[in-house]
Amino acid sequence: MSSRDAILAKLRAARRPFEDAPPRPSAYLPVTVQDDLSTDALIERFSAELTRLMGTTLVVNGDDEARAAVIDLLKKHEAKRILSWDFAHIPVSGLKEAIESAGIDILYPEPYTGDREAMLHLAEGAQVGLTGADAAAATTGTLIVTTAPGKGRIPTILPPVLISVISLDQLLPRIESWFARLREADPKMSGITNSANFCLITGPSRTGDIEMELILGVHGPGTQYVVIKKTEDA
Amino acid sequence: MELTSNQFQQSAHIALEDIRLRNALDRATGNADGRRRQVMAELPHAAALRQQGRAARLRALNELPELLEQVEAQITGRGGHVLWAETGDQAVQHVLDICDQHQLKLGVKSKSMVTEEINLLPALEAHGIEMIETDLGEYIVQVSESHPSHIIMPVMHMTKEQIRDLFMDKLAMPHTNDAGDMTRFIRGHLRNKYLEADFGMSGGNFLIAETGTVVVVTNEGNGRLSTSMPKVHIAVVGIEKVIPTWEDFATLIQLLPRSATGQRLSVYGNAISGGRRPGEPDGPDEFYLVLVDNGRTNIYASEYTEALACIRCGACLNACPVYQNVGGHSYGWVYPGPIGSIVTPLLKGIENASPLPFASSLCGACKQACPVDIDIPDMLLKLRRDLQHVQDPMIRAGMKGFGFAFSNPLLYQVGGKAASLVTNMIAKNSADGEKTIADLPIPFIGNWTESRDFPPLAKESFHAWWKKNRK
Repeated sequence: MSSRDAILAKLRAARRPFEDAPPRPSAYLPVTVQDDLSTDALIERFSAELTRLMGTTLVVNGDDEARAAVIDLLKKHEAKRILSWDFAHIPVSGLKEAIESAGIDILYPEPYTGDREAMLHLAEGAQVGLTGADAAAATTGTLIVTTAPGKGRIPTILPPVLISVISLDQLLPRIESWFARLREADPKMSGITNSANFCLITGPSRTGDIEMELILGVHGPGTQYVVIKKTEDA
Repeated sequence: MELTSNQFQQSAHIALEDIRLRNALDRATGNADGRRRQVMAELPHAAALRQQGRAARLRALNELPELLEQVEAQITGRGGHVLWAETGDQAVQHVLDICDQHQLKLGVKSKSMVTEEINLLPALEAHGIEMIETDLGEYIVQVSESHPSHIIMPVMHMTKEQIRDLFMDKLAMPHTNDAGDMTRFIRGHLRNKYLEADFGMSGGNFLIAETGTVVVVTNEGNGRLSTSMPKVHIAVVGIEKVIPTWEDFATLIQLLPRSATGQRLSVYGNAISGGRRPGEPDGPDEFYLVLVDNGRTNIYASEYTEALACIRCGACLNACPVYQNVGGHSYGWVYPGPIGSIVTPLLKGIENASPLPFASSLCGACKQACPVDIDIPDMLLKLRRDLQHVQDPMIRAGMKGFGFAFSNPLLYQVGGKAASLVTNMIAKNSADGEKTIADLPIPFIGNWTESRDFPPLAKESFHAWWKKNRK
């Protein structure tokens, strides 16, 4: 008998341990509370939560302001090279051109094409990662990023600084809201299985391993910005 | 990791004498438990949420075989690999085989308790495979060639000065007293390992059955880096980690950090559903999930199934007055504290961890702190009972005889009369004038009078008195 069959047989030979467990609720109680669901309230909550985690939220109106905000941040961190998602997935028009004309190199980390080792070492030298996001959750200050063509993991985790731009319609109340949205789109949750990976990112990388002292930026980015883009007329 | 749980008392005594350790434990457990209370208190439905989390875990355990099959079907359906291991050795062999097949020589690893449990790293090392622990705490453990003392905070037993000296001695770190400097030094030190690693290794905090997804939770980002940079990812996960749905996950992923470190969410909840999909720019091409039994099916079939509901937050450790004083190493194996006092005897044999069920005052703080309301005190009591059965066949035989005599009226009356006669015969006047027996001359039960006196039985039995006085 294979290990697989042996394990399953042993489990099946046991009586069901929790037949009296409460059934799956039709409506789950959300963990966090956010009564005011207006966009302003969500922005305020997201910003407050991220600030508490030592991240920074910037709220901008329209593409021009968004572009300027990103360029400012890149200059502030003296970025010469950035790791980026494909700009089709970053909701700011003309951003790529603006970054290029500021003389900053844009690298799209694709370790499976070309010289892997050289590419990774080049990527390691980048100062900033630049991404969009699939969604953000206000009550926890969380970004949600899934993988897809043009949307890799390396820009979100390798550089010391992470800048992510989201549009207002991506800002949800809670992480539960994102799962609910996926469930509504497809009960089989293909929103998850269509990607190899998704990640909930809640603030900059941190550790408390040495005497519980809070230190940011252990392995992931120690500095995090989320730029929330409102539409121009909003 | 070598099992030394039977030396709990000796280890605990050494720990209690260690002032530096006591200070470190005071600070860490106090902080963590305080923060947990704070963030749990801000939830308006904390009690209901705890039950929601508990129900998710119990439903999962109730359907465990089906959910495991679902995980397997999902992952293999997308080209991933699922390997099953009945024992720790089998799990290790699976990993060695994968390393062999893909020629893997250098791995970066994020924190996992189950890899400690199955002694994976020494086995890899013996086969010439270098494995770097990347969680800062676990890396400190690795460099100091010791073992973690807490499920969540591996080096909570060490002071900053001890860590500094270790890094200066072993890694030639320049002198500093700043934890930030030390952390940045390690960041730089490990950077190239991520780039050069052939494979990443992780445990898994949750396995979501409906999509076949492993979730690795970290604060440092090492879990995401380890599973994003290399070409191969191996996840080693205990079979009890499965939950059915993402809605269940959404509850548990928030209860876990609130209970563990008092955070509302951990920084990275990294969810891996398999290898890189067509067109995706990065991430491992090959994904392996090693499902580890290693005694869990025995627990499943026992009356201790509830112990498998644990989500390894460490809240019961921080809340436990025993753990707070003796620290994790005293428990002598991978899982310390109240939950460890249950899991260790169950996984390693109760005779090999017999002091642990007694390493508790049964105050119930552990149950109260548990985010899924596991009845730890009740299980500790049951283990104490089991231990009697294993350890003292004489007591067992004695109790059996006792039960027989007491359920037989004639034997009971004759026995009672005899006991009254004998005890009154051997009783002596004590200092305060009462007749007592200072030393019962009966094997085993005689120990009882080592620290107290035994009163002689009444000369007239209740039966006799009742017969006389009943009107």
